[in-house]
Amino acid sequence: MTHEIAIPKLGLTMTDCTLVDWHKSDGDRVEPGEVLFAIETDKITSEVEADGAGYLRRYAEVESTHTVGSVIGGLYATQEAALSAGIDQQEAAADTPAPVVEEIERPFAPAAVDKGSRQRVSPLARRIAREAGIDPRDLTGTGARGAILRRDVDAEIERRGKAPAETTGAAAAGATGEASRRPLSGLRRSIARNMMQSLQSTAQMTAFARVDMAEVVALRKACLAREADTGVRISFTDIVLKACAIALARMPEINASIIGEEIVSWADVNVGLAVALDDGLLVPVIHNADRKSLVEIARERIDLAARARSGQLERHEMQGGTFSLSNFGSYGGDFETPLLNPPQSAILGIGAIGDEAVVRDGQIVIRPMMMLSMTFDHRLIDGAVAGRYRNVLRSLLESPYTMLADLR
Amino acid sequence: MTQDPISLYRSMLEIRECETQLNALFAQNKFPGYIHSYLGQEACAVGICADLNERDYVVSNHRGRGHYLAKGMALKPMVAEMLGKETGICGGRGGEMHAADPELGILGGNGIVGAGMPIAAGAALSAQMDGEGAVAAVFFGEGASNNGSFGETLNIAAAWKLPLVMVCENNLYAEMTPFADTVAQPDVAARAAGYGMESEVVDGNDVLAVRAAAGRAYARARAGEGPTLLELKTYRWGGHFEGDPRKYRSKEEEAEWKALCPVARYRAHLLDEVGVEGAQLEALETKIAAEVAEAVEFALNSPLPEPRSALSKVFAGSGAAPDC
Amino acid sequence: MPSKTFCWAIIDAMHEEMARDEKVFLIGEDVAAAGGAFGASRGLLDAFGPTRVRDTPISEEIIVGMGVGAAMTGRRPIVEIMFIDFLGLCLDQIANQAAKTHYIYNGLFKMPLVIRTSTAVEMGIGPHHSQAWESLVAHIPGLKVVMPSTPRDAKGLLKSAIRDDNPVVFIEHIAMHRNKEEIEDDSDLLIPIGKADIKRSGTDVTVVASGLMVARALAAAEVLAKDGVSVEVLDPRTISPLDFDTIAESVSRTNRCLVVSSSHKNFGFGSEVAAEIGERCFFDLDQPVRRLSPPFTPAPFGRQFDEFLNPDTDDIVAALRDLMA
Repeated sequence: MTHEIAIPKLGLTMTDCTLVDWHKSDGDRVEPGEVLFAIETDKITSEVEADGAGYLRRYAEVESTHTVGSVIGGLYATQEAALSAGIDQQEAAADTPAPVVEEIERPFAPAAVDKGSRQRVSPLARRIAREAGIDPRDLTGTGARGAILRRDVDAEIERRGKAPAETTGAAAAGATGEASRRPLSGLRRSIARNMMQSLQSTAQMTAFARVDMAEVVALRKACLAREADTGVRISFTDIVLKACAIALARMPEINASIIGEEIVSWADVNVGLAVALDDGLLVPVIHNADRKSLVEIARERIDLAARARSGQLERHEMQGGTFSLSNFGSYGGDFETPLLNPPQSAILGIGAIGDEAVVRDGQIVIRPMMMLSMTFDHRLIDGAVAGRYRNVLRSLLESPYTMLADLR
Repeated sequence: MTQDPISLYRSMLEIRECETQLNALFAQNKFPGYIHSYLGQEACAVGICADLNERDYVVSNHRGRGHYLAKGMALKPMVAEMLGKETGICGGRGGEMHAADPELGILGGNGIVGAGMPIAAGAALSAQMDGEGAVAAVFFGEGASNNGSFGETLNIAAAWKLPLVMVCENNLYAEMTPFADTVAQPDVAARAAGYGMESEVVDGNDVLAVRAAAGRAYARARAGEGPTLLELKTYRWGGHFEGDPRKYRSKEEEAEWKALCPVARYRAHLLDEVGVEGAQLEALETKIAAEVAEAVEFALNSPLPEPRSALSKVFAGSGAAPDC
Repeated sequence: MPSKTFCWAIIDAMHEEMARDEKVFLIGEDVAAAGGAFGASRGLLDAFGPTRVRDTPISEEIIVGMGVGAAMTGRRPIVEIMFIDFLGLCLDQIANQAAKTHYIYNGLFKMPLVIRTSTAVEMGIGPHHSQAWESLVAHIPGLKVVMPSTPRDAKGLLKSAIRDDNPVVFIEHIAMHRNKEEIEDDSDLLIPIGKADIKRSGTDVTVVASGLMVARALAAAEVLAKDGVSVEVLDPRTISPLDFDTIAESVSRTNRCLVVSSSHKNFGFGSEVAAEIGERCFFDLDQPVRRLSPPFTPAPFGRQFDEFLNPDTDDIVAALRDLMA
């Protein structure tokens, strides 16, 4: 019996990847849990461990591209069997596993082409894009395997035509003398693509609410007093993040996504936290934040943020988020309209905490106030549901000790 | 083309001189490509062509200079063609195995052994349709008689009574293999009977005997009585090509055949039987040697065709290959 | 206008040209008394007599070779090789003699020779009678290779071939023999060799189809039209020299191209078209050029194999939808 080695899905949105390394050779003995190969997607290289035992036969070459589920190798009962395994399996691995069954019946399936991992742009699309001053790397392809076709460039030209303010080409700028011009970094390109995709693929609405943070300020003060015991400096962000997680656990309709034609509710509450870098932004994820203590959350946040800034995050640490939190208050903002991180359906932006005059029991009093800016995907979340979530969140923040009730 | 006794000698001398001087040129590395020498077979070409005229067709093969000259091709354009020069009769693109002149009925040589016979049958078919008494003669070696085209030609020519004379120059060696080693029946002429064709075996080193046999074949052809297969027994003095070490045969055999030299035999005939003066022949020999030398000089001094000319004449009626 | 079958269009073309020029004659196996193995020379023996319409022995090399010799000496022969599968028996005369004589002898000879031959691809008669060898002969410089897909094209192209001073391999598909088309009564109906014909105009994708595939491509275009896709169908008619100008012009407009032929994919007609488009139209391409051709196998005996191995209308539709995705 052969144990098939298939490309695992390593993230919610992962569809394909490039095989970048085999850690074992043909005929090698492999035990479950041993690192077997490495794959790469947009940002990250991941090592994949064996999920079975046997002698290895590699079907796929390094640098080949595969879709999730593609069989790239086999584990055989004996070394001899592995080494004498037929070319059929290797050929099977050369292409995607899914090709429609009916095509096998006719001998006219198109030849497998362009297995490289580089972006696919048709020559015509490339030409038209160049003439229009558009970088095809900014575009999302709608052709086979994401190929950018003429229609994609045409759509972009039309879009820019409707939004002249967003001119980017040198000719369109109309200004004389560019200050500088430099290529997009890989990270910037990835952010640009994600942001565009966010706006193009969802229906975003942002709502705002004021929260009285007096109790949170008091809580944090108490925590700081105990910093020597816990060994960690708990921030306002940690407390808000914890509140968000508890509110999400109470309201699974927010902790959900539209995937294709279906609504998926996520079992875990994983909160992504935007971390600003010198050139860009990463969103590491604090998994199961609803089940973690403030101290645990704070420790994780400090570690993730540090490693994000030094480029040492691993793939799994940036994946699986079901909700995001962005603290723009740290650079002085009050309210903004944050963009969703698809397929998440909600993101919360928090502003700076500042003393304001508010009315309490008929009296004007000074309270430390903060603005919540919550963007949600209006395709999935109705305004009333979003409002309920905000209310839960506000009540948790205004009476943080009630979070104790939800601790597990 | 050559009627009187001296003309026959002149024609044989021209071939002999040409082959001798071109071999020397080859030895000096001044000759491009292969050279397939006709030395020793002069009586065949001259005897066969003696009584042909311009309306009659000759189809040659890879060893064709004797045929071209005997059928009347001028020395200079012929030699220049052999050297691949622009002044050659085909502009130099045919080379050593290909020369032709439609005006003289010379339908070309060939680089493919056996390919000329069907073409000659087609020329004979044309002549038959014209009904003006023209004939076609095709030269081929005994080696080509083992090619399928030989049987196909014998059959259809006999069946259709084509005015075709099939001239087998049996020089004993099919390229570098003794003919006798490859056949059970070494007389090529004997094969004609199976196809219902007339045939004759002739001493190929006796120009008068060849001419006489050819005359009988032409008479039959012109009278509509059909084709003849002539087997001319002769000997190729050189190898298949110049530089062939000829390990497949003995020096003694070569000496025996050289003693039967067709040119010397006919010279002796002219002196002894016809009564021609020796001085007259010597003067002719000097003159022919000079003419050939002049033709070789002309060819050596002629330019090579422009490489770009390779793109022209792929098709009739268009100046260039379609892709240019 | 009278409606003619493909077969009678061939007969009419030869009849008219033989009447026009006494240098034209026809030889081949079964062409005279039998009227042609497929009936494509019926009536010619009676009309022109046994000197100009003549049965030969089964000797392919001499059939073509005599055509070469006769063409070199002023005649305009039409020689028939019954099946294109038999070309191997006379390839020297075709490739080395007919194709090269004008060139080797620097234009001293013309070669007004027509080699008529038939292909029976998809007719279920086995490995030696079912081959598409147009690509094989198209590889030889000096030959013209013509393969009509309609009766009118067949007539006009054959008449042009007979009047051409170059050797032409004229390929007739037996499966088309009964196809009918209206053909004007014009003894000078000449369709130029080397000129493609746009059988259906379209704007979204070009199908270059030859021989049997032309009709299927047109049927597929009809299906795609219902999807709102406008398919241009281009029949080169002449395989060599191929009319790349018309093909390139079309693909530059449509930006997509599918090549469909009965010729094997490997080193075949489709490869040639695709490569040339790649060189000429690369920056006009929005999708890779696709080829639909039989796989690289011989053709076994039986229609079920033919149906499996050869592209049909559904295959063309599927490939087109793929290209439009």
